[in-house]
Amino acid sequence: MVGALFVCLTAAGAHVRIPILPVPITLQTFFVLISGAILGPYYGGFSMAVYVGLGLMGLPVFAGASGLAVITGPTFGYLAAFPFAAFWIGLRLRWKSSDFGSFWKRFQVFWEGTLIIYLCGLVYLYAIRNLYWSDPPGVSTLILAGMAVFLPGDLVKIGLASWLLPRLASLNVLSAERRETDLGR
Amino acid sequence: MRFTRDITLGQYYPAQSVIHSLDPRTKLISLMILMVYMVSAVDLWLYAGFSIVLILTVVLARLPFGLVFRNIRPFLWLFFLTFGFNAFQSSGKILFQVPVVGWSVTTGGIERALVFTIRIALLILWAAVFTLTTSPMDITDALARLLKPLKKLKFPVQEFSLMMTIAIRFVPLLLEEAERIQKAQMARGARFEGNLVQRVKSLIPLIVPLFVSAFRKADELALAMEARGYRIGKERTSFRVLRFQQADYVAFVLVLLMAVPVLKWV
Repeated sequence: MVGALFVCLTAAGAHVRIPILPVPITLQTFFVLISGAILGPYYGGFSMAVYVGLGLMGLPVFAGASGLAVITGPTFGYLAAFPFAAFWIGLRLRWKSSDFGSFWKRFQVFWEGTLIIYLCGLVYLYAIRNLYWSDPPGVSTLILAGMAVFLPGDLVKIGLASWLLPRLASLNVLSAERRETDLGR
Repeated sequence: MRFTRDITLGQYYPAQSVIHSLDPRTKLISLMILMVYMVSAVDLWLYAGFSIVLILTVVLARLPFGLVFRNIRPFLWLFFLTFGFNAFQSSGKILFQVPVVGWSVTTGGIERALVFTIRIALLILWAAVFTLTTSPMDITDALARLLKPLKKLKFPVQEFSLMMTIAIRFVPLLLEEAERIQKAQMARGARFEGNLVQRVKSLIPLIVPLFVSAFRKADELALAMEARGYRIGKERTSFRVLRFQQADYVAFVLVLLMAVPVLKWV
C-alpha cells in the first residue's frame, strides 16, 4: 500500500514546481530517490514502474504531457529510468539492513541513482535524434543539453533527499509487523 | 499546481463506438504492431495510406478531431526541428539556396523531411487514439492478462495490477491533499518564494505532512483490505472478464494485412 501511495506522491511531486532559471525544478525525481530508499529495491522499482505506467495510460501524472505519445518524445528515457534508479538505490541502501548510513553515504547512493536516470535519458535522446533526424549528436552537445542543465537542480534535490530521508522514514506510522507484510508495503 | 477534474479518467473520451468496445488487449497489441510499421516504413505514399487509415479509425471511434490532434501540440517544436533538419540534408534537385550560409533545400530533402515529420505525427496520433478510447482501468485489466505468463518467472502480476488500481484511485486524492497542505501552510505564513535556499527550505513544510498523510492512508487501506479478507498470493476472481469477440479477430486481421504494403516497400 505504501508503494501505491508513493506512486501518488511522485505524481504530486511532478506538479510542485520551483521556478528557478533556467530549468524549473520539480519534486518528481525527489520522490523517485526516496521511494527506492524507503521501500527497498523490489517495491521501490515496482512502484516507479506503476508510476510510469499510469502516465503512459494518460493520467496526468507527468510534469509535462501524459499519454502513450510521451514514448515518442525525446525525454522519455529519463522517465523510463525511474524504476531502475529506485531499484538501484534500494539495493544499495536497504539491502539486508534497515539503517540508512551517514549523510554522505546517502548522498553518494542518490547520486548514483541520478546518474542512472541521466544515462538512460541520454541514450534515449541519442536514439530519438538518430531516428527522427538521422543526425547523431556529439557527446558534448548531448551532455550539455541532456544533463548539465538539470545538474544544479538535481544536486539540490539529492541534498534535500539525503538530509530528509531518516526523518521521513521515521514518519512511517505502519506497525512493525504490517510493515513487513506484502500488503503493508 | 494544476488540478484537473475527473483525473481518474485520464485522457479517456467515453463514447459508444466499435473501437471503444474492442477488447483492450486487442487495442494494445494492435498499437504495438502499428508502431513497428510506423518506424520501419520509409515510403511517402505508404505514410499517406497510413494517415488515411488513422483518419478512418478516428471517424470509426467517434472521436472529435480536435481532441485527437491536440495531442500534437506539445511536440510541435519537434516537428519544426525535424522538418528543418531533414530538408537541408539530402541530395536531389536544388529548389533554392539560403543566401548567406549557402545551405540548399532539395526535392530529396523535402521528401525526407515529410517522411520523418509524418512518421512522428502518426506515432503520436496512434498512441493518442489508444488512450482516448481505452479507460485506465481497461488498460490495467489488459496488462494484467497479457503479463500473466510472467507469473511463472516470479513476476508479481497480481500485485502489479492491484497497485495500478489503487494508484489510479488515489492520485487525485493525494494531488488534492498536496494542494490543501500548500494552502494551509500559506495561511500559517509559509512563503514559497525567495532565493534558492529559502525556496528549497519552504518545501519541507509541504513534504513532511504529505508523507504523514500518505503513510496514514496506506495503513488504513491495508487494514481495511485485510479485514475484508484480501490476501496477497491468493487467486482472485474479477468482476469483469475479458473475452475476445468477433470484432477483435476482424481488427487483428486488418492490422496484420497492413504489413503487406510495409514489407513490399521496406
